[in-house]
Amino acid sequence: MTYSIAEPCVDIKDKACVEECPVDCIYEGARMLYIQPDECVDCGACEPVCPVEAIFYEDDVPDEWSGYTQINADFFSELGSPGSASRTGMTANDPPAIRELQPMGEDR
Amino acid sequence: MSDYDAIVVGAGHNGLTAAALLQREGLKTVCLEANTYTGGMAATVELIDGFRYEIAGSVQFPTSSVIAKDLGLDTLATLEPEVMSVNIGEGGEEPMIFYRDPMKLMAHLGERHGAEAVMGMAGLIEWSQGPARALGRFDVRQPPKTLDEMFACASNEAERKAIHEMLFGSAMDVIDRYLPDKDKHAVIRGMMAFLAVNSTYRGPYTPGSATCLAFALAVPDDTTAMMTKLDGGIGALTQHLHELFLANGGDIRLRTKVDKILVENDRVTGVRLRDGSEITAPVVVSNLSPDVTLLDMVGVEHLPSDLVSRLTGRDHRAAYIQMHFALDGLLEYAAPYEFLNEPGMQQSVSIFGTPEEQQWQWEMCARGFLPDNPSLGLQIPSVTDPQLAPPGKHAASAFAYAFPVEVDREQHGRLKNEMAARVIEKITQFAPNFRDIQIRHITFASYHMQTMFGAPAGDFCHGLLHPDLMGQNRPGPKGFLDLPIPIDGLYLGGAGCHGGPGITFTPGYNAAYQVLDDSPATR
Repeated sequence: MTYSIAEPCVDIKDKACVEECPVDCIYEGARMLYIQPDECVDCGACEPVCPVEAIFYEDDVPDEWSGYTQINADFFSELGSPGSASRTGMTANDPPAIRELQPMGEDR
Repeated sequence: MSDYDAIVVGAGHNGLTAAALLQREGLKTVCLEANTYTGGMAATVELIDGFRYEIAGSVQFPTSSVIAKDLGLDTLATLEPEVMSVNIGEGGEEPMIFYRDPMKLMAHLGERHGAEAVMGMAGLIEWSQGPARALGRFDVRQPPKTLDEMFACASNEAERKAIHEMLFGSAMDVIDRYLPDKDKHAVIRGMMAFLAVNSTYRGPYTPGSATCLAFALAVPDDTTAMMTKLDGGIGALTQHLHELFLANGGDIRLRTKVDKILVENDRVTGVRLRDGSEITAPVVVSNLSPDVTLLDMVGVEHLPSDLVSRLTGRDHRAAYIQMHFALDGLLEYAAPYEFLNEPGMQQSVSIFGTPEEQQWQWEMCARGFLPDNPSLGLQIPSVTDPQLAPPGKHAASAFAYAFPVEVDREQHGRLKNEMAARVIEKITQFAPNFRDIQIRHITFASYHMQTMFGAPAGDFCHGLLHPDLMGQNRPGPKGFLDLPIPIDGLYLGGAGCHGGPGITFTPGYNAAYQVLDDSPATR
């Protein structure tokens, strides 16, 4: 079980969640942030601080964004478990489903 | 017809205690837990694959033998390491080795710290006896005491003074008297000072810090048991209660957050969950803190204004970080602490500054600065309990005090990371390989204990261990002595209640028996 980040984060990347995380497991992609599912300890600290309510516990992801749990995992298919988002920095490993989204953010 | 006879909100050690007792006595009981596991702040949790941690509390406090027997807690396997903990100073002072065997401990104190240290320690334990009775530390199914009743607990003038000191004095008023030598007794003084502040928002010289010292030093009359470590970690206790509850037919629902406690005509009718659904019962036992339960979950519209103001602004400034480490081996301490590299010595190592230093660190935190030299304890339970980590690896946890909790909340994430770096730096000064053996680490600040466990602002005591939050200012199951909750069927059972902070099981136990006393027909 894990938390994952869904569509409201795309092209927003507020990052309020990043410093809240006790394990530094929220990684930055080109278009959104992603939670490393094996590193997440389910503490839930990120969920309430997200200004766009993009973070959900696995059971609670709304149906329209149900694919995002897998999308979060797919971001790490090459990265693996680096152990620290701050040391890893931004990487453009966004899965195709995210890369291909229309630009978002300003108009939302 | 209600869904249940009783709803217990929260499956921490107090909630599970209440639930297990109610179900055992024939009430159809459901225990609702917001988290994904039971045990709350007394759980052993696999935070990292293969590594299991005592996520918050790590030791069972001396527990009333009545409670231990009734719940079968005395049947659980405990760890009995020869060395319970080692306390080292910061300036190369003589370490204090806490042997489990009292004779061995006294011999160590006498040989290494001098006869005055033996006398001083014995004096401190004796000092705590009157205050422990005044605080009702081991009372079961008893109301908290008023100030007059507290003083009436004294059997002689020395105890009267001790009770006065416990209420109005600082920890150092007491420690200075029994262990006055700042050089020879430095490490023991530092250890006692830390014991006195770790559940407060105080420095050891701040008036009011003697309360926590008395609470932590107290031992019941009928045993010599001090803090106990459990086989399998602290979660063994709550796992036992969980199983006891289920064996008697109780229901536990995880990921079930209670938003509201429903009240009609001054009677509890049930609870409303976050998803909007309702569960009905004539009895609700809440193990959230008294202020969260009443102000947020019941709602001020159901409460007299006196009770609302009494509950408002209770001190929850819990100033700590807790770190968990996955380690690829043990620490290698440098001189003069090579003795810590001997087998079994690293189970619990504390690096506390002198009381003067600890006061300074707290003053910094209270003024919004990170402590530059935080006092800390580092426990590695996998040293004596190999099931907590993969072979050859270790699961370690550090607790460090004086996190500047009053700084704006938005800064806490950054400050937590900086304080964690200082903790790692400090441990590395003593054990140079510490950085290299880290596989991963986790840093919880107080706010994580709020999100994970509903502890208000991360206050694991649900009302800090300050004199103004003890005695008649700590509610029992039905509210304050002089200001009861005017809602039938609502009971308080969490750590914020009398009998309270620490893993004592007393509040949950008291709440369950109050329910049973009030509803004899159901028995």
